[in-house]
This record gives sequence, C-alpha cells and structure tokens, in this order.
Amino acid sequence: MSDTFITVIALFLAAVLMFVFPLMTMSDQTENVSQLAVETATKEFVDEIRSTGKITSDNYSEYVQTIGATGNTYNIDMEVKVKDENISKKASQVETDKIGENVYYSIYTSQIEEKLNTDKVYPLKEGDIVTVSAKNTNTTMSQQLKNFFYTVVGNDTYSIAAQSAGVVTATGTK
Amino acid sequence: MKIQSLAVIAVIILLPMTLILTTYIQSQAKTLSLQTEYDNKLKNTTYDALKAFQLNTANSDTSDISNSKIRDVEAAAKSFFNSLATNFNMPGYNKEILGEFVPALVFTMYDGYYIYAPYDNQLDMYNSNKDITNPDIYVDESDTDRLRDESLGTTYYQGQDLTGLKSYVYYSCHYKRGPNLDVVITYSLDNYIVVKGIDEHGDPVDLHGYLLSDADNLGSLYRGTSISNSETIRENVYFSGDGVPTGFYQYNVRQINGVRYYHVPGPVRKPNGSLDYRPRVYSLLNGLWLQSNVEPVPGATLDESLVHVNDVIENTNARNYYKKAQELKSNLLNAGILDLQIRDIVGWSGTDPNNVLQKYFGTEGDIEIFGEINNSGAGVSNTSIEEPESNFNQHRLSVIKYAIEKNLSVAINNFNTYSTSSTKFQMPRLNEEDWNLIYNNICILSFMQGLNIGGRIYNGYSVVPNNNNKEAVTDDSIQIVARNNSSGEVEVYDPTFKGFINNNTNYEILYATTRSNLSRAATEDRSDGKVRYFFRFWDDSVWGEPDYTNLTNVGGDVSGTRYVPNNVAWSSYNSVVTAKDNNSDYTLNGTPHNNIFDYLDDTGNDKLKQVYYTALARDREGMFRVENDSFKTEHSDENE
Repeated sequence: MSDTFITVIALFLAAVLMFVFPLMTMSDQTENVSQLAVETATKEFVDEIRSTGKITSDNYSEYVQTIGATGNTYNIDMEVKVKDENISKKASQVETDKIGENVYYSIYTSQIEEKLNTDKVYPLKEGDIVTVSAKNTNTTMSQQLKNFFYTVVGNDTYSIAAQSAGVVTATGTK
Repeated sequence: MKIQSLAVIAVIILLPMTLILTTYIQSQAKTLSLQTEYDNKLKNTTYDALKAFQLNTANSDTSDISNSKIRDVEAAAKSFFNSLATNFNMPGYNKEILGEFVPALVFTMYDGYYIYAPYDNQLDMYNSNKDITNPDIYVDESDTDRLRDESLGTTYYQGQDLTGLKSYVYYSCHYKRGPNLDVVITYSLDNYIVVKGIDEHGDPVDLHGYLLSDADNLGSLYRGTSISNSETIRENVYFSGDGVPTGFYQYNVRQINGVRYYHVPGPVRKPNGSLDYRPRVYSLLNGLWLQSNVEPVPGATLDESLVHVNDVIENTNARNYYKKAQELKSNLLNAGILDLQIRDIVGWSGTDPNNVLQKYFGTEGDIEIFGEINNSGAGVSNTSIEEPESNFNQHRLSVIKYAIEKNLSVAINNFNTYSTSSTKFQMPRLNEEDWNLIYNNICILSFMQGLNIGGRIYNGYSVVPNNNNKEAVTDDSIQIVARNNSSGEVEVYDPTFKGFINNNTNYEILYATTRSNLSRAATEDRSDGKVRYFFRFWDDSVWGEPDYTNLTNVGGDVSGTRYVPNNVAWSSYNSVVTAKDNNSDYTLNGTPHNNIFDYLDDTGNDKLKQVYYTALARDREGMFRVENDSFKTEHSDENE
C-alpha cells in the first residue's frame, strides 16, 4: 500500500520536474525574449519618430507587426504632447515673458490612428513629445502556468510591457 | 535502471542547461537594451548640442562670418561633451576622457561640413631653424617629437594630440572635358552652385548662383506666376539710441547678404543736439545700430557703395533672384558647362567595377547633370532642375554623400591612432532615412564607439537636423501669413494648409517668409531692462500705417518709450501647431505630388503661388554667401 503511494508521489514529482519545471523555465524565457523584442521595437519606433518628425502608417504597421510576431496580442498606446508655440494665447496660468514655459496638449492613439488612416502620415514638429507604450492583453503561457501553481490574478495584469518616450528633434517635412 | 535514477539524471542534465541558457539570454537581453538605451542617450546629447548651436547662431548677427561660425560650432561641441557626461552618468569627466569614445562629430552646413576630431599639432613651420641638439626645446628630453617653442609662446607643443575642428570640406566635385574644360563645382543644400576653373574656351570661369529652369530674363515670371517688381516690407524692430525715444518702430526692411537694413524716416538727434529730419538707412549688428547712408539734400550724388533709402523701400530681392538665375544659365551655357555629363567627373570609369566613384555616381556616363535646366516647370511629367527628382538633384545628393563618406571614414579610421582603447574604430553605415536628413538640412552627426555593453562593443551614431538656422532657406521653411476672415485674426499657416485650396475665400493671404522670421522674437528693453516679446511681421493693411507724428516734437524728450505694438501673428492651431489640416505628402484632392512646386501649380491659388515664390526668392537672395559681391555691384548693374 505504502509502496504504491510512494510511487504515485514519485511519478508526480517526476512529472513536475521533467515536464512542468522545464516548461515553466522555457515559457519564462520566451516571455523574456518577447519582452526584449517589444522593448527594442518600441524604442526603435519612437526613435524613428523623433528623428524624422512624423508618424507614418508604414512605420506604425511595421511596429505592430514586429511586436505581433512574438505571438501575443498587445494594446498599444500612443500619445503626442503637442507643444503650443503660442504661449499665453490660450493658457492663462502661464506667464508670457518667461522663457521655457510651454503648454502642451495631448493627442491620443485613436486620434493618431484616424489621421494615419486618412493621410498615411501624422506630422509632428520640433519640441513635441511622443510616448508609445505596449502591454500584452492575452495571457501568456508563463502566466497561465504561474496562475495554475501559485498566483491569483485579476483581469488587468500584463507581463510584457514596454514604453519609450522622447522629444521630437525635427519638424516633419511632407 | 530504476525510473527514479532516470529522473535524477534528467534533472542533473536539464537543470544546468536551463540555468546557463537563462543567464545567456539575460546577458544578451541586457546588451540589446543597453544598445537602445545608449542610442537614445546619444540622440539626446546631440539634440542638446544642436540647441546650443541654434541659440548661439539665432542671437548673433555675425554668425555667418566664418570665424564666428567656428566659435559657435566649437561651443556646440563643448555642450555635446558636457551633456554627454550628464547623460551617461559620468559627471566630472572632461572632454579628453569622454573623447576616447567619440571618434568624430560632424557639423554639416550649407555647402560643406566641419569634422570635430583629434589631430596632430604641427609646429614644423616655425621650428625649421631650431637647434635640435639643444635639449631645452623639448618637453621631455627622451621624446624628441614633443618640441616646445617657448620663444613663440605656443600653448601646445609639436605633435601634441589636440581635438578640434578640422578645415571645412566643401560638397564639391571635379569635372574635366576636352582639352580645356576643367572646373570644380560646389553644391549646397538647395540649387545654389559655385563654379570655379577653366571653361571650354580656355578662359577662367568663376560663377555662382541658383539654378532655375523656368525664370525669365526680367525675373518677373516664374512657373507662370508673376513676381512683383518690388516689395515694400515693414517689420517691427526695437530701436534705441541716436536721440529717438527707445522702443518699437515699424520700419521698412531689406536683407542684403545676410544683413538687415532698415529705413529710418527720422528725425534723429545729431551729436550737437539738433534734430536731423533726413531719412536714413541703419543696420543692426548684435544690438548695435550702424548707420549706412543718409539721404542727401536733393541734387547731391549718392555714395554708390552704400545702401540707400530707396533700395530698402523698394525691395527687389525676389526679382533679382530670378534674374540672376537666368544670367547664370546663359553664363554656364557660354562656358560649356551646361552639357557636363557623369562621364566628365575626374576619376569616374563606367567600365571598371572596382571604381569607387561608380558606387556614388552610377555606371551611366550619358546622364546630363544640368540637362533639365531648359525644361519648363509646368506639369508633373516635365521635371525642372530645381525639383527634387531632377538629375541635377540626384547628382547633388551623390556628391554630398561622397564628400561626407570619403573624409569621415578616414577621420574615424585615423582615430585608432589617437585612441588608447583597444577598440577598432570604424564608420558605421548610415541608413537612408538619416541620409535624407543630411541631404536636406543643416545637421549634427555624432558618433560614439568603444563603450562596453556586455557581449559587444557599442558602435552607434545619431543625426539631428537643425530646422531653425540662418544658413539655408529650404522649400519647406516658408510659411504663409493670412487673415482668417471669419475670426478676423492674422495667423501663420503652412503652405499646404487645406484652407488655401478649392477657391476658399475665408483666408486672405498676406505675406510669406521663413519660419524663423515669423516666430516670436524677444529683446531686452533698454528703458527698463525687461524682456519684451514681439512679432516682426507688420502689415499696414491690417494694423494701419505706423504713426511717427509725435516724434517730430521729440525735442529734449528722449526718454519716452514706444511700447510693444499690438500686432500678433500666432501660429495657426490647425496648421502649424498640430498640422492637422495640412495636405500631407502634397496630396491635393486625392492626387499626390512629388514636391511643393508641383503641388502649388495644381492648387490654382495664384496669390498663394505668388507669395510663396516671392518669399523663397526674396529670402534666398538676402542670404549671406561668401561669393556675393558687395552691394556696390548691384548699383552698377542697374546703371549699365
């Protein structure tokens, strides 16, 4: 009786050690690699925008494809902080004769995408600030395994996330 | 073997494997993220250097002059290294240490570029008569290369490694054809060229100017659009001194060879205290007013070498631009330069696949570089020489690329002899997107190599264009001032603004000029020391003629102040601030155009075309160019 019991335990342990543990490590690594790929792609996308001064639909779809190639689905958030050159015209709290006081107002993903769909290009100018972030929306294999073993998670968690931001250095030409 | 033993063996094999794999992947990941992080920091650092350059040149009226420009460039390089130290968390390190990782900084200008890199100090010239057996002349007796000449008071010794600007490299190309023709043509960021050498008749040739296909002899018509004979342009300007109340005035202005001349109607106070009512011309040099010419009493002769009041009131810059382009065309034709072909480039060989020039200029020798100068610009299929697609422009870009790559790769390779690091420095390959920035803008390129980023040695570069400069007037730097009839406000728009097409009458176009002329300017008010902001643009039809009547009674009162006028020309939110209502890609009602010229031709808005072509011509003609003759020549031309 006890022999059978120990065999069952041993089999279970063997299964955990030989299958689940490597699976977890491998899926962890896959996730790390995805994380890296997403991070690199995001930084490259933002750098491209910063140096050319425009978001083009070509670059955007290339970015979406690159991060999509990791096998996960992502929620991409873009934000452009448009620098208002006309300081003091529409903002009352800013002093007109102070150098460096600028007002920014934000344009978000849906507005940018709408413009990209119609015009293929979203032009920016020097001094604008662009931020792009990507978070995974599906549950990755690594998350599933972890959830199975030891974690209880809510709906809104993500394990792959990347963000990049910077000041646009050139006024986009057509 | 028992199943338990198998399990143990499997664990013994798998566990180290996964551990090693994890570490390996982690280090790779770190390398990659460090690489992107350094790229990002390098870009920020370069941007800082650019900002320093912009600030220094924008506030200086002498920034055109080459030693002043060199000073500005060196200051920008200094801020680059300061910012580098901050960005890479290496405060306190000076540029000698950080310079170990920066093989070169490149500052591209209008018609060439500077390289900021290490070089050997040469004192040979001064030391040829030295007694080399005297040990006192050496910094170190054992090292006879390090010569110090105290009698000359030199700071640096012979052969010392110094970091600084190397001499300016022009974007030029050498051509030879037939027995005589032997010229060097220097290209620039736009269609301006300088030709020097021997023409096909064996005579010396020295020509410069803008290449245009479609100008006429009088300069009155360009691409079917009439260019007005002369303009009267008024500008807000801060004036102090010479006995008039300090403050803002709206004076007529004209820019000639980089200097803005203002027509001051008077009166001004003479040194003896009495008032002088004669109109005169002043120019502004770094905040100081320099008097150019006083309109003499009727009948007296004018000094031909100075700018007169009428030259300023009647600004003929735009017409001169087109007129001179036409003159250049006929001079080039006479000199036999217009039919130069790719095969005439010295050193080019179409058949030799190892010929390095082939890589830049192609294998086809028959292409006529200036062939498109006789095309008429109207119509998309007919490329004129100033359009980006012309053979001339393609050739110009090849020359720029060749000039930069040739010298820069040598400079970066030479860095190996100065660097103490074991890294082998090499010029990285620049991608096309970055070349596009370099072809069309004044840029700063920075290179950084040799930092250890884990598995690899970092080798990166960064290109940042300068959109606000006094060096070039580019096609896309022109902006339009228009009155929005529904709101009554005067605003600044992009030429591709949607409100200017389809016979929209809501926007009344007033004027056009470069972006830097239309942005808000600041000056220190000498009456109270405060900084005042103002717009330069002034239009009589909007704000009325300036009133100087009270100035005739200035008498003893010179302390009065003329306040900042109420003219405002804010950037349009829909066009300039957000670019949301501009036609991107020069697309007009669904049809894309290759360039702004074709786009404008199709808008059907004659006023838009006129102000744009006039502004482009006026502002280019007013630029400082080393080759420009003095103003005197223009007077003598008019008399001929």
